[in-house]
Amino acid sequence: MISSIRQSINLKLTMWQKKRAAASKTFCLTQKNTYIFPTRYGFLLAAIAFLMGVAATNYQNNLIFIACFMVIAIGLIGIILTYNNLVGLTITIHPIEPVFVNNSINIDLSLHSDKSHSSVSLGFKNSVMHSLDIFENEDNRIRLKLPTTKRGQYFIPAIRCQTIFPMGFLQAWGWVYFDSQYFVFPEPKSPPDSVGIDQANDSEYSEQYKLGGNEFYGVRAYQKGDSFSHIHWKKFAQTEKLHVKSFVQYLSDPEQYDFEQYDGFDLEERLSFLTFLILSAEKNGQSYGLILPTLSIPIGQGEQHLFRCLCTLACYQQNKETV
Amino acid sequence: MLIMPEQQRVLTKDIVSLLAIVQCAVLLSFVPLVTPIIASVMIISPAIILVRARLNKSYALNRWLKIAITVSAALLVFYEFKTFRGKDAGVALIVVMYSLKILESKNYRDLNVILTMGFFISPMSFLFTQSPIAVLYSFFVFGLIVYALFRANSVQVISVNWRKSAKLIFACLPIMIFLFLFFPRLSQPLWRMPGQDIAQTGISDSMTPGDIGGLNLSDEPAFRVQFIDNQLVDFPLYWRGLVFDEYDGLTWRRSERELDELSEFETNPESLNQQVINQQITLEPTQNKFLFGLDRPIKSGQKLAIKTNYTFESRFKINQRIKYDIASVPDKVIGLTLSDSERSANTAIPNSGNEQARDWARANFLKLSEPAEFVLFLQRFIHQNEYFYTLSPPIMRENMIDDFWFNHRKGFCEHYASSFVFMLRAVGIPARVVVGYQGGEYNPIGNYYLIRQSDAHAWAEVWLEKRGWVRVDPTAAIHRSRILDDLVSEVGLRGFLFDQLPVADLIQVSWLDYPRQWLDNANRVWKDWIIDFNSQSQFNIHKWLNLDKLTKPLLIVLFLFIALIITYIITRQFQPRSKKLDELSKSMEKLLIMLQKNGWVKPPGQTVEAFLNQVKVNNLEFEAKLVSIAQDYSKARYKSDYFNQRQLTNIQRKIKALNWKSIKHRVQQ
Repeated sequence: MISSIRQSINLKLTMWQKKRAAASKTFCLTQKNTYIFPTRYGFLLAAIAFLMGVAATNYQNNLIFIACFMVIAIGLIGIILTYNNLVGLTITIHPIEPVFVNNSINIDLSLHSDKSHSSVSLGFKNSVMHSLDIFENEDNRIRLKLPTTKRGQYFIPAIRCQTIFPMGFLQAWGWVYFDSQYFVFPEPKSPPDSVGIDQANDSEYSEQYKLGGNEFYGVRAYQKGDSFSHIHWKKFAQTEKLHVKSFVQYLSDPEQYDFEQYDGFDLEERLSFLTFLILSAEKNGQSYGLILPTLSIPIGQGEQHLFRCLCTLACYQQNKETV
Repeated sequence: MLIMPEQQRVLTKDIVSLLAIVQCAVLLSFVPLVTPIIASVMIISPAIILVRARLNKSYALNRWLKIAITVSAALLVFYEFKTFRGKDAGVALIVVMYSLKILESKNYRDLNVILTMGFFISPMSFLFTQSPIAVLYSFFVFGLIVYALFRANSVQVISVNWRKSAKLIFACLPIMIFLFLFFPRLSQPLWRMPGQDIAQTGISDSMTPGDIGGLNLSDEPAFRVQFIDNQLVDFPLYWRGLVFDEYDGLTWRRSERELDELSEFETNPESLNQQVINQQITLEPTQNKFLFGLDRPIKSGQKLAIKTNYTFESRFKINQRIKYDIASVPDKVIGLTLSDSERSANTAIPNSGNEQARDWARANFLKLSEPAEFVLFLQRFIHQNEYFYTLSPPIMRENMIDDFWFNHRKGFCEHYASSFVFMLRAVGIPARVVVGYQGGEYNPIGNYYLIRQSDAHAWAEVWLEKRGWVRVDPTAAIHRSRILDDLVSEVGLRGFLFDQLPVADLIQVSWLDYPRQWLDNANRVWKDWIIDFNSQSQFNIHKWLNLDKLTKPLLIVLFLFIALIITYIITRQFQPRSKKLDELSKSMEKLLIMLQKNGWVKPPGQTVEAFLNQVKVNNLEFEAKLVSIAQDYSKARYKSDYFNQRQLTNIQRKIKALNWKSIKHRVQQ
């Protein structure tokens, strides 16, 4: 119950903050999207000021009043100094290099300001913060790392930009939103040498082939999802069991990698195999293409082609997987 | 740089030694205020840490060792004070514990706690000393704490310098002054704090001269007096405090009798037709109720009741400095009629004791018969016989008056006054002892009189027919030669001699006195405006600003809000460079436009500095000025550390000072 309330409040807060922080490639921390709140030392300072006020009143001691008001003044100035240390900062995001799953994304940021800022920290939610000093009218670079666990195309999560400089009594922060996206490619895995047929069956057909295609290969038991057009009706008449004719395509043109080739593996593994295959093909200078159930990429070669293929693999049925 | 979670951020040796220095600075203000043992205990742990950090040694301590040190330090405090209660012991305990905190400081949290607590610990010294130097020192300590906080919260040491923290402290001053003047406060303590009673100083409410073997007169100020309208004082400065009319053979006391207040007629200055002296008195805390005023006080500004013996009291114990107004009429005749009860009270002496003095007085009175003549006779007797004035008289416990008058003949004002009054009472003349202060040092800088504790005095009042109560100072009758050497200066200052009643000394200001008086005046200003500033003074300011109708919560909100605005205005000073550069660019733009009007156009692509350096206007002085502007401009533009408001106005002034009429308009080719 409480956690659901907290979740909904968090969602509302995020929405509110997002609304105040227009997403683009450049983000400017202004008074609209910068927040400030005392740290626990700030509360300690407030408690101390209060205590001094009580002591000064009880002992009717004006000098302690002076010290008390001095502490209050230091706190008040601290509010504005801390806030000013963040406001006015412009953060630009650089294009993001895609990575394979389980590697970290490098996010390069340029921080620019027409005044100097000290000890500004940046980081993602629930991760370590990196901090740096920002010199006026200079390009201050910082690289954040974001671990990846799943392939796909993602938006950059909100980056927290915070500072407690100069005195640590207050923390000013802002959530930085960028509309930049990045790709996480499937992890390349080398596919097993022979697939699609029973490993025990010591076939003389050792050449490479792949499932599908139009050359008759054999008969096997019906599995859910098999096409009706492939049912071996004669065999059904004989045995009263459903069998399907399986066809293979002997790899006379090995550049066209087919998703269906790895029947019996799950989606992620199939994509990993395909990733491996196109990477090695690119490396060996071969031409290659992709055939996926919903789309296919014609044969080609080169970095752009590779990128296109990898992006396709990264995004293939991404949402189905994540939902 | 990576920021670790708070608990994992371990302090570097540099930061730890800085922390130890800050702690030493905080604790240093307590060193003169506590016993040497406590002082050394509290300084020792930061000192050890400082040395070890400098030597690059580890300062980690065993947990049990830490506990042992903490417990023994607490025990030591207990041993010193025999209690943990009260102001002295409490503060000593807090300070010692604070000093030990550094022994277990490993991470950012400990550092922050020590530094933030420093803001609290340092001003605790004001409970013991209220000198301006202590305040200045604590500002210094605050600056140091702020500097350490800057260091601890910054990634790079380079971005922190002491100048920034000093600037912050100076920026805090106006806010602090504003809050000090306006922030509403309570006039009464919320609750009584322990240890608020301090030893009485000055005059006490009884007098036992025989008990005192030596009198230590302190130079501490008792009170300061400002005469409101008449600067010229040509009357003896006797400051009336208490009247002692009860004597038990040892001690003089105030009688328990309820005294009436003075009637309206007696206190009305107009009805007296005599010179009225209005004074404002700032009295140091006495821990007693009684107040002082120039003899004879008739009316107080604070509506305090003046009793028929012309003494008055405050309603509360005076445990802090107070200020009050009093009007006096020095020549006022008082107590013309004496009631029977008054007469019997003021002639009462113990039935036994001091027989010799009693008999001697009666025998001599018989020869004279007239009370006034007897008074004169006694004074003359003191003057002509071997009576000495000394502050270290012998102890005379039994029959003190006999002993003093006939044997030792050495004593100070209390001995003389009590013997004098005793002798008068013995022959049936109503007399009483009056205690107060006598004399005073005029401070021409602040235009006030300073009365010190060493000016405490006791004299006699005799009731005479048709003259009422008459002041007689028997001490003043002592012959000058018999005032013992070590006191010549003291008494010379007072100048109480028989032939000449003591007059306020408008002493010559020598160049040596000047700094001393200046210092006392500064001290008085400090006390008046800082230490004694209270809710009343604040209310007066509020009233002056017509804010007295607002409620307190509203006032607090209002003033915090104004303080925030002041803060904002002040902090704009901290990051103004870009704005100043904008202004600088605007000024330079104006200069270029003026040059353009006169025919010199800056070619695009050329820097302003280069352009200014090569403009030839056929006026060397003008060109030199342009070059100097160019230099200043490039310095301001590219050396960020050196650019400030002064430089900006400097450049602007230079641009304004250019004399455009001195150059000829260049015709465009």
